[in-house]
Amino acid sequence: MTLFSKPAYMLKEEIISENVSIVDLVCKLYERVRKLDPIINAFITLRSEDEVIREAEMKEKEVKKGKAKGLLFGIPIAVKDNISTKGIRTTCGSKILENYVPPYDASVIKFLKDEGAIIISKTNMDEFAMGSSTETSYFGPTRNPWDLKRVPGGSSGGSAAALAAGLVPIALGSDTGGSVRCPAAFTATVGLKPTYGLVSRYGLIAYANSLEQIGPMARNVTDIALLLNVISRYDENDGTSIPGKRPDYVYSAMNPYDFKKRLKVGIVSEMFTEGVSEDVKKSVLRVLDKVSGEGVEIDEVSLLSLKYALPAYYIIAMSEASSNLARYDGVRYGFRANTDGDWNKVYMETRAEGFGLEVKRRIIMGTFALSAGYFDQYYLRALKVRTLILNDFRRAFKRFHVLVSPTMPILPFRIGEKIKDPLAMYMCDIETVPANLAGIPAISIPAGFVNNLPVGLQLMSRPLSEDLLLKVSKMFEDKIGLKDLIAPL
Amino acid sequence: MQVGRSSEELLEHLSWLARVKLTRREKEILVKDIAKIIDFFNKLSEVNVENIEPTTHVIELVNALREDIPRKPMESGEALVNAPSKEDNFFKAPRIL
Repeated sequence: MTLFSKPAYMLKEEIISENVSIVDLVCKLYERVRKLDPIINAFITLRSEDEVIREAEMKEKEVKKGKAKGLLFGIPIAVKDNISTKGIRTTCGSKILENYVPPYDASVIKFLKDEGAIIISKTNMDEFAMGSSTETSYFGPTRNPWDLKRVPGGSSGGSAAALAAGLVPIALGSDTGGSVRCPAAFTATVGLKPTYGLVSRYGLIAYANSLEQIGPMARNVTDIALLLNVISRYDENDGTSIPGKRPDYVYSAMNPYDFKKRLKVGIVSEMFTEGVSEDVKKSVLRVLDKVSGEGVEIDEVSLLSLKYALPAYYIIAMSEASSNLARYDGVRYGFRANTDGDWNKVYMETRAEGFGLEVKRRIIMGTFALSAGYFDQYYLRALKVRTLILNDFRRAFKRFHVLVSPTMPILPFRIGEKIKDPLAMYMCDIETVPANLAGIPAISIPAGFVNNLPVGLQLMSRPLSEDLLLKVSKMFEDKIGLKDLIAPL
Repeated sequence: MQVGRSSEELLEHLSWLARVKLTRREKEILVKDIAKIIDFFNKLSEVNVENIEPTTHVIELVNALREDIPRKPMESGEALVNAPSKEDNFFKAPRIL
């Protein structure tokens, strides 16, 4: 195993036992970044190497004094560029925030620092997390390390590509309708969207508040559990943060399921039908064959309301976006158009120049769904459909511990293939949006490859059952035998 | 769509409501997209939602309260760091009237 593919949980042990030097690790990663990132474009901002080496040297001194403590001590991490980092530019992939340097840290960043992690970069993403391919970024598209002509998925495509290229061992993304799981599936990495409220959103630049969560990304399930242990603290700065102690997710992941209690896995019929490619379907079913057996019971389950999940999701997400993005007025922060005139004129010009086309499209459509005469027909109706979806999941979880589906209906597509057809792009999210509407945890793990392109498998479970979800994911990971993968570059 | 209103007029109206100016090229693209996306939204009209309560949040939200202890606010200089235009200790905004 090379240094670049080593899991964070192993690196951490080797750092503490002085078998790996933090300075050496950082230098080797920067060398790799310099070689590969000009091709992949995973990072929008890379911290200066000198500054990071100084941080590494200080940490190394603590190791030598036996004072090193923290769950991620000395571990380099990349952070999606919609998570506020004090003193490090945070652009959201947009021109409107091109020069924005947050005056405070998001809570998850504070938690990372408390546990000794070293932030080395901010990762590329679809503008304001609006996209499934990382092509709408103002800073240019990210390339998929498994096939440079293809997209890495989105919107956390930079974080996923950085993992698959071996530029960092762990990363943070955010998931509003699949933005952590989609790129994980397209890059043969692992990504978790936690239960709504498990991870603080304080300092996450808002797109659709009722749907989104910050999520851990890594190359194996154990590292996901480790990172979740760090970021899932209760936070009084987020009014939707769920109070209470969290279980030790690493302990859960590492200790096998007690198969005396049969594990019931539900195959969601609606997620294997319309628009799902045969290749993807076959890969996922092959995995289910491998895991079925003693103690594991697999059966089909139907959630009829899922037929309406995609339009309901887009109505809600766009409505929330149109309201959230009203704050970009060119007054307190961000870009301001160089124009004279009154408030409305400057406001409109600033947004005309500052936002890209997809962001404008979603603001316009959200404004439509919320406007007088349409509110009941679209926004309110979508919220009622959300209730139906929630009820369907509740029913399914009475019978099953976990539900399974493909993460993405198709294989990673070519850069440019879907960007001009918004509805074709939205269709990519068909398997991932239900978990956001229902607020339940969902994870994507590598299921296999078709023509050398990664396929992801999605597992979903009851709210706040991440411990079980990670345990089952680890069992799947062991049976599938795909982890710690780095694309040949 | 409202009777008697063309897609162009609707887009113009939405662009004003959202305070986003659009170029001619963007208008050409979005006029077509709006019709298609509304069609996509309309799929929800088949669902029977009678007597169904809307879900705005998936977790039971209760008021998150804390003790009213004063904390140090952000320094005004720090808050102004990202302002595109400022004067003394204030953000400088375009005129309202």
